Amino acid sequence: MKNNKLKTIPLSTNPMASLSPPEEEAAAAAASFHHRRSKRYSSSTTNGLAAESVPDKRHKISLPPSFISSSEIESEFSHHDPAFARINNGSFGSCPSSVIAAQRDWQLRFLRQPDRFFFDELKPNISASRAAIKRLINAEHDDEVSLVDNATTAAAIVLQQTAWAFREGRFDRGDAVVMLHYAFGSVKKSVEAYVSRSGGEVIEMQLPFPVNSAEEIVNRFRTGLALGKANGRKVRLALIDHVTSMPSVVIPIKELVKICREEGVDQVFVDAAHGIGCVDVDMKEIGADFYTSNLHKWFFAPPSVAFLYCKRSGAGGNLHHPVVSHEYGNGLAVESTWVGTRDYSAQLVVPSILEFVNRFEGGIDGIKKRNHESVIEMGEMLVKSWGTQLGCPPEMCPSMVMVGLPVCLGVSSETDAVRLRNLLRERFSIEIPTYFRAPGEGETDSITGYVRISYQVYNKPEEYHRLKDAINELVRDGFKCSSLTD
Amino acid sequence: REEILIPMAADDRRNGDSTNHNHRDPKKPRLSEFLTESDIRSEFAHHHTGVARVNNGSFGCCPSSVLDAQREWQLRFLRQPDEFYFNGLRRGLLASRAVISDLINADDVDEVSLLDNATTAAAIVLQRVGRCFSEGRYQKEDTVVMFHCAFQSVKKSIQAYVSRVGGSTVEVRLPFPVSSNDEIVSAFREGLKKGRANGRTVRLAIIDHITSMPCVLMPVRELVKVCREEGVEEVFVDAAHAIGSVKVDVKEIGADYYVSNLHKWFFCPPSIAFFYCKKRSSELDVHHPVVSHEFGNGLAIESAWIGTRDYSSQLVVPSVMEFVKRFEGGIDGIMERNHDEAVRMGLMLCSAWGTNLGSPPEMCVGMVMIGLPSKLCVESDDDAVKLRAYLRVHRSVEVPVYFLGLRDGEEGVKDKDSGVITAYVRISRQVYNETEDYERLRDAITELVKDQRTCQNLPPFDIFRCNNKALEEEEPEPLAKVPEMGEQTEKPIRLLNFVSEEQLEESKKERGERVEDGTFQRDRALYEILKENKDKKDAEFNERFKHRPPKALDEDETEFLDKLEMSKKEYERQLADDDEQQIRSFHAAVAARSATPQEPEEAALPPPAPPTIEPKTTGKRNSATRPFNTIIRVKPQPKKVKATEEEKKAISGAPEPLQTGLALVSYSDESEGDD
Repeated sequence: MKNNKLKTIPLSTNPMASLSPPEEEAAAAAASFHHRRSKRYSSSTTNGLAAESVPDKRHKISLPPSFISSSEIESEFSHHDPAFARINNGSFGSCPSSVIAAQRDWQLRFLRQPDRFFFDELKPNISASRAAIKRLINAEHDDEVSLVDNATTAAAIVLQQTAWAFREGRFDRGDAVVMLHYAFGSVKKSVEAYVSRSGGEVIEMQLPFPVNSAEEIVNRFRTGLALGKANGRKVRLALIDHVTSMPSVVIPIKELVKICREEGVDQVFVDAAHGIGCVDVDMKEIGADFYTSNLHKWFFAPPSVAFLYCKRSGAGGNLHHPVVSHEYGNGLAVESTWVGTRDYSAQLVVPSILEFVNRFEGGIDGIKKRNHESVIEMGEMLVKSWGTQLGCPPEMCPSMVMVGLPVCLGVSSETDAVRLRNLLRERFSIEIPTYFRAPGEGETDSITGYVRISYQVYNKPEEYHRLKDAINELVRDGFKCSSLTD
Repeated sequence: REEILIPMAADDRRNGDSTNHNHRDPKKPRLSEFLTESDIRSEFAHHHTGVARVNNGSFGCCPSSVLDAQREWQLRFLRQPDEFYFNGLRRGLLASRAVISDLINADDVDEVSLLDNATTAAAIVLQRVGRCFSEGRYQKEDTVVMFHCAFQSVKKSIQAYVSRVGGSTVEVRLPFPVSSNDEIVSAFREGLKKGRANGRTVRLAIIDHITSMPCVLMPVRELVKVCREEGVEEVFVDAAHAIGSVKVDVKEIGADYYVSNLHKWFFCPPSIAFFYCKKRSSELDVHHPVVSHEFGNGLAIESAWIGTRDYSSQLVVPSVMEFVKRFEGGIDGIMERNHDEAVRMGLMLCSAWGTNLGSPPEMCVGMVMIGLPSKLCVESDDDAVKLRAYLRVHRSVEVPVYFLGLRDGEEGVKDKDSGVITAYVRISRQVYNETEDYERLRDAITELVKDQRTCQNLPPFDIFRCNNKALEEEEPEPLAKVPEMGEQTEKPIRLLNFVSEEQLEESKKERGERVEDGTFQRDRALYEILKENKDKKDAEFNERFKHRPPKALDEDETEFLDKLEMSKKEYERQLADDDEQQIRSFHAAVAARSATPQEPEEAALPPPAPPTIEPKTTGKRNSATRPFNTIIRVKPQPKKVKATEEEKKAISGAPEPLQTGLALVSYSDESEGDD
């Protein structure tokens, strides 16, 4: 296997130093990509990465004799639009064809004889998916794991429970719910809809960006909690992201949960929309009461499936799915297995996903590690070329990195950021989210625009070079965001 | 002869039906023409062959052309999700909403939201009611009035959102069997009166458009009118079964909220429902429980983005319209034919069993409740469960069974044996159904009665034993048939000596090619029996089985069979193993599939003796004060066409069971006679 890989390596040219025409550069970049990959394959075998990460022995046994090849990866993702540099896995994730095929099988099995499927197959197979996830995230019991559509749904479930506590007087009016300023838009709206409306006080904690160290975040969080507890108020719920979405930063979640415990916060809910497949997810280590992660973002699931973990010893018994079926009262995990007739196929493919990721060296942990390394490499390549900086130090990046845009582009509002994103999509066929950061008081010439690049197994360096060149071309042409209109 | 109409859009004007097949490739999509029976079969080729699926009501169905369209949407998303999200999704959802809005005669597309299913809609409405209680806008003890047979999920939603905050509930008992709308309307009036007792206010009335179990088409317009007269604050019509099943005109109905699934009777894949909210209600406080950044922008917009998920089933509505247009009369034509055919089959079963329909034909839709012979002694919900499982496992008939407990003082309706009818089956009719499906049900029940089986002594649910038994009983019969089919005469002995696996393999090989003659059903059974031994040892299965969460049993009609999972599980697993193989062979066979797929099975059953029962039942039915005359009046032209076609098919396709064909004719004659 190693030999096959090595055969594809021409003696290395360094793509980062290269100023050759695009085609040659792309070829060079591709070559470097293979080179890098194979180097990593061979090196990581020696450090025992594979052994620690395979979640389930059964799957290990069924490993194919050799790991997935790059052409196999290409064919697994051949449904992606080839014209596009898709360096935005973070927004919608990706799903390989083998998993899509498995999903279609499930869909067909339902359609074939729905009654039988409903009575005999659905529940045990969802349970199988839940059991697989339970092992993956190191939960205590299967019952702690429920499958829902997405993190947005999970947030509604947890926040509804909080709302009930306020309404039924278990929490006093004015008790606080604290959350990070960078919480996902939907979650903020959920808090508004469920908590604010029922009389809870919501406190948003401002976080610094760019971030220099985890301590900055921990300190801000302590301050925020102190504010929440002012006037003898109780903090009933802390809502913490594991990986913030925009700007993207890994939050030192273990420390924050610990602080919450020390400060007597009732419940901790970790919103890890980007969690599984992107950062380490170990329920016992993290110790939150509720933890949710999408599987369709970084875990190769089709849209959409997420798990919601509820610690058994916590308030899990009060959780209910907002869509109530005959399973009401049988525990959230069971309630979630039937929320009316619908397509449950995305929840049934978890075992197939495990098969897919175990075709990679080191399984999902290996993928995660390589994605992280590659995205940092690409991020550093970009900041070097553009003369900017990363939004946070590498150890605080998951498989996504915030990369500062050249100041001269003049990103001066969120609208500018959106328009720039559209421009990159339409003119350069690059899919990349952009972020506007308002300059602080007294700041001049600070970086106001960032892009968030993602790296997933199907990505190739030339895609990031295309982004690099596109921005450089704009800079060279004296482009300003102010010249853009809808 | 089928009349061919050409929709306006079609520019190549071809006519003629049979001639057309001669000079054109029948496989080619001929959008300008109506679907032929073989087209329909291939649209539903993914259905389990050999199963009489007369239960469209529970989970609906979806033709392959719509599934293809859905897959295209799924791929479009996966191909470039960002682009799709920003440019494709909203437009696609709006297109679906616009189609529905026209279909249901809404004033504005903003009144129509797309949801997963009726269960979600119930959560939305009841969450709102719950908030009104907890925020003090409603007084404690104010009421929600509903029918006792409302869908279980709705009842649980009330428990979760309304009872919890102090609201009270009044359940109106739906009279069943029912003979007129007036019975329902007056029962409902009583319920409203109860709801307003002691100065309480009725805040919400929940009315089913078509109840699920027992299934009755409700006089929904009258009921809404009654609500208005009685000052009920809001009316929510739960019409899970409605669209594609009855004409839906939301303006005529006049409810505040109306929800219908589209995956039950409107050929959508699971799952999609539309939720109609009277325009003024949109300024009210109605929100999707899953809150996204669209919160506060109106329910339709909120529902159009509830996080990343698969919206494909909501995007295929225009494709479904294409599909239904390929039937004469479009969805209205389908509805009418389903109703007429369901009633016709219902009457056929009634007369064979000597029982009655659960409601007069004009109160039926594509679903009909038919009384089961009292001799079966269905005495509890558990018995109904057992019978349903028996029919599925032993007879390959998928049909829900309803137990009707009598309350004190009720006399009930009697069947021809003067026993009280305590159970009903709910049959559904959808375009893919064939008369044989219902005949199989008829014969299964008739045979049970003939064998003096009751629910207390049904064959035991040790599947392995049952199957052997079934084999012993049935094997000789088809053996005799096989040569008569004019095929495979060289090896008639094969089935007698089925002991060795090699022989089994061999026979499978041979028979793979003529799957369509229906005998493969038998092969499958053999194959399964042998395979079961292996499967029994399958450790993986056992492990999976352990993961099953404890099941909660309740009255929900779709839920209660859970109980039998233990015993059925292994049997079904084999079937699943067989599935792949079948799908493959089925596709190959579909085009050539003959019109008589189930003959050997039919033949295996003792010939029914309808002639003797018929006169009796006719009398019975009339005496049951059912205005049966109306049924017949509704019956349109196409039905007759279909009957003759089927008859022809039955006779020409089947050399042997002339008897069946005759029986069929006599039934339709009989119902004609009622005209």
